Amino acid sequence: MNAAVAVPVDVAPESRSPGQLALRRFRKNRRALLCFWLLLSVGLATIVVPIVSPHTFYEQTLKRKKETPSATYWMGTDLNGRDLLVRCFYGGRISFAVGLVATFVSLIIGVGYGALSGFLGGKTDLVMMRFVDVLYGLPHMFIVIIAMVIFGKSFIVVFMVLGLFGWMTMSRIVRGQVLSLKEKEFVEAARAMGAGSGAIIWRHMIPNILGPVIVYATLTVPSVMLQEAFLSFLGLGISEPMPSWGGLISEGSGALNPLRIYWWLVIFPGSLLATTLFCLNSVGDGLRDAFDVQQR
Amino acid sequence: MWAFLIKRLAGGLLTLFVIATLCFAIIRFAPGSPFSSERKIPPEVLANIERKYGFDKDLHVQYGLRLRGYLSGDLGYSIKYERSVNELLFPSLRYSLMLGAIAFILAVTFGVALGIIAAARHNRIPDYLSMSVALTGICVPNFLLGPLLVMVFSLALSWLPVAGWPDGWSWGELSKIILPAIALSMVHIAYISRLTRAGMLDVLNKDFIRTARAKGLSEKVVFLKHVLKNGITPVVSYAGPMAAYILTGSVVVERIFNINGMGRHFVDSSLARDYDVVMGALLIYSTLVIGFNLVVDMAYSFLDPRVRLT
Repeated sequence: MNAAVAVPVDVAPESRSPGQLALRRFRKNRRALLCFWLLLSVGLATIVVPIVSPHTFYEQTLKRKKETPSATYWMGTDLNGRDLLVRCFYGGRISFAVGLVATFVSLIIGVGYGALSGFLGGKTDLVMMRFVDVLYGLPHMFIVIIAMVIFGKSFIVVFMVLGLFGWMTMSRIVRGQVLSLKEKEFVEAARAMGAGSGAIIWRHMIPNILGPVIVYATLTVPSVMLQEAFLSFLGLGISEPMPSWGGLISEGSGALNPLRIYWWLVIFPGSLLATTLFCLNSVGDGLRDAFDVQQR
Repeated sequence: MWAFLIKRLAGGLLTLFVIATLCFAIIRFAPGSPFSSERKIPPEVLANIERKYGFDKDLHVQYGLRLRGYLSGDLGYSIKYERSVNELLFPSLRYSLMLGAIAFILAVTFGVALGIIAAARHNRIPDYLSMSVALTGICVPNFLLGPLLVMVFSLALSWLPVAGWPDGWSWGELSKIILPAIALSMVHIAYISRLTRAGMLDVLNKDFIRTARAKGLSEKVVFLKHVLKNGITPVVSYAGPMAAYILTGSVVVERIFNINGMGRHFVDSSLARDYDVVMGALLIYSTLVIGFNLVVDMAYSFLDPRVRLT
């Protein structure tokens, strides 16, 4: 009566998951791959340099203010006689930390909100997306500025505020994916085979959303880092003596004067920031091309 | 069309209301006040000051009064400058708007031009050159580009003034606006040139372009009339967010070049907890962004009649 029908399972010898295929395509993209390694080395340097260096980011040598790069101070010293090299790379740690954590916060909110909205559908979906539309209409950087001033300049505030205002696009992407996936035949098949909502979300939805989510998250990191640098430039982000790239550039730009040009104060933190943004954007673009199945 | 306008205007008003409420809630429920300075103020004096500015009333009464003020076009009173917010913000808004408009025009002109060049010489040297310019523009944010420009063109070469706002029509005065405008528009030149290039390349493969060529139109006419008009729609939809980004960017650019625009008032007054100025500036910015998005959407449907205004 209820004899289980053994379904013969054919395991194809050379089957590759879409993720593996995407990784393969990514490896063929020379610019993206180069940028990936460059990014990795900048990231490693921000960890290693402050440990290895004989200087610290807060130690001042008041006799040696505003020195040009030399053998002792490879990137020169800042207005207070602190070693710029260590400050630059320590600032990099903070920029990366903010970029990653705030992106993670926005990822959690965005994926959760978008998936819920798409999965529930109907009126709930409509209301939830109208809310996102309203948030989109806000000039959010100004609200971020107000929030930073009000809640004080601390790490956690920077993470939370940037994360809380950065999830809208992610939620739209995820919702769109979930909406289209819901109608796909394989989801219907899974449901017909008796899979519950949890299993469908976990086994079928998540793996299929993962591509666009990873791609968009990679592109969120540089934009968050940029926002953090923007806030720190205004003196509202990470506060002294803790360095951050935006703060360092702001310091250098404040020291510009017609008598003597302290170029190193702007050039070094500036080029680190620009390189990192360039690499992150290239890697993100490379990943998008690799995951974008329609484009092939 | 009219239904669309009314719907959007109503939506815009709703958004402004949400912003005003949100902003009021954030600044009033947060710790700190405009009078929390280093100097200790005796409690009786503080109570007097608070009564003068109406802070002794219940929060919901203050909120109602503030909203009624906005409805009659009164943005409130600045505690820091002891002037009405309207008097304070609108003159400075002129600078910000002028700078923003120049940056906008620069961004569209040069961005579209670079994009056309890149698309016309696809995969050849001009393409690579203009796309490298675009990539640099994207990776060098305005608060880095500003100091760099000052360093090179003002300090090292002394070609252009370091900072300030034009105070007359001579070249020496007018040239003050060049560097801030470049710093503010560079990122957008970059994005627009990429969008133009991509949009045009997309159109280039379409059948109607082949037809245009087949009927003997010159390459120039094909490009500027057929390809450009159809390829430029992504640029139009970018113009809406761009206005918001330019306003945001002007906050730092005004600071770098010492321009007395609204961005500086915004940051300074948030630091000083000058409630009415912060909210007034935020509402002006939001109105600008919402209004601009509306204009862009209408322009979009004009360019591409397939897009219905709903």
